[in-house]
Amino acid sequence: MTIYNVDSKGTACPGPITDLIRAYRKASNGDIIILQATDPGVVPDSKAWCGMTKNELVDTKENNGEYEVTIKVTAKK
Amino acid sequence: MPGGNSFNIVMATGTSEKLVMLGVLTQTGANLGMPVRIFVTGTALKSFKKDGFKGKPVMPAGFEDYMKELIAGLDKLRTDNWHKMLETAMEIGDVKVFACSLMTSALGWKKEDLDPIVDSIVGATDFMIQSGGGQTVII
Repeated sequence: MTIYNVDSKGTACPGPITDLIRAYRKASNGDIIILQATDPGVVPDSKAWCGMTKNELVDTKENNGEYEVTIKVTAKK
Repeated sequence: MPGGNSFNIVMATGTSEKLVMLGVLTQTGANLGMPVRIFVTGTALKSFKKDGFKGKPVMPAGFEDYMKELIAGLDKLRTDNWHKMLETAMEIGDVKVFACSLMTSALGWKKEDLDPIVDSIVGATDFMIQSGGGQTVII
């Protein structure tokens, strides 16, 4: 299992999801992507993306305007 | 019809904030794996002339102060300009940009006069067939 740490802090919509997609393309099933961002849209956008793609949203955290979204890759074909 | 699940954008207005919208929607569509088809017409075509995106942005009339505030805010974010967003979308997804044949003819512009990101000059019929069945927004 590989953990991909994606630092998208400072970018705005749709930058964090584009950074997520770039990591996702390199990842395999079972890998973890940890996406860090400051754009407040990153949590609902990541939830929607996981719902659409059937990847697993493991956790979301917010601390002083910084967001961390953890996703388990489960839908790679 | 081709393009059943595509996201289609008719880009008709060339003011600065609308070009940002184009970049955001195109990159988002590409992120979601949707084919994105863009038909550039009207005043938007000016920004799709070769090197047109490097020109001075056109602000929407009546919103000068608001636009100054908005642009200053965007400059503080790590945000790509609209043209770079389109390039990124093309890198990660299936994105095609078409220029309106009526408007390019009226302006006397040929394919070689346009930004290289423009795939081809087409008529409305070709665009509508390519985008048939998909969701279309007009900007």
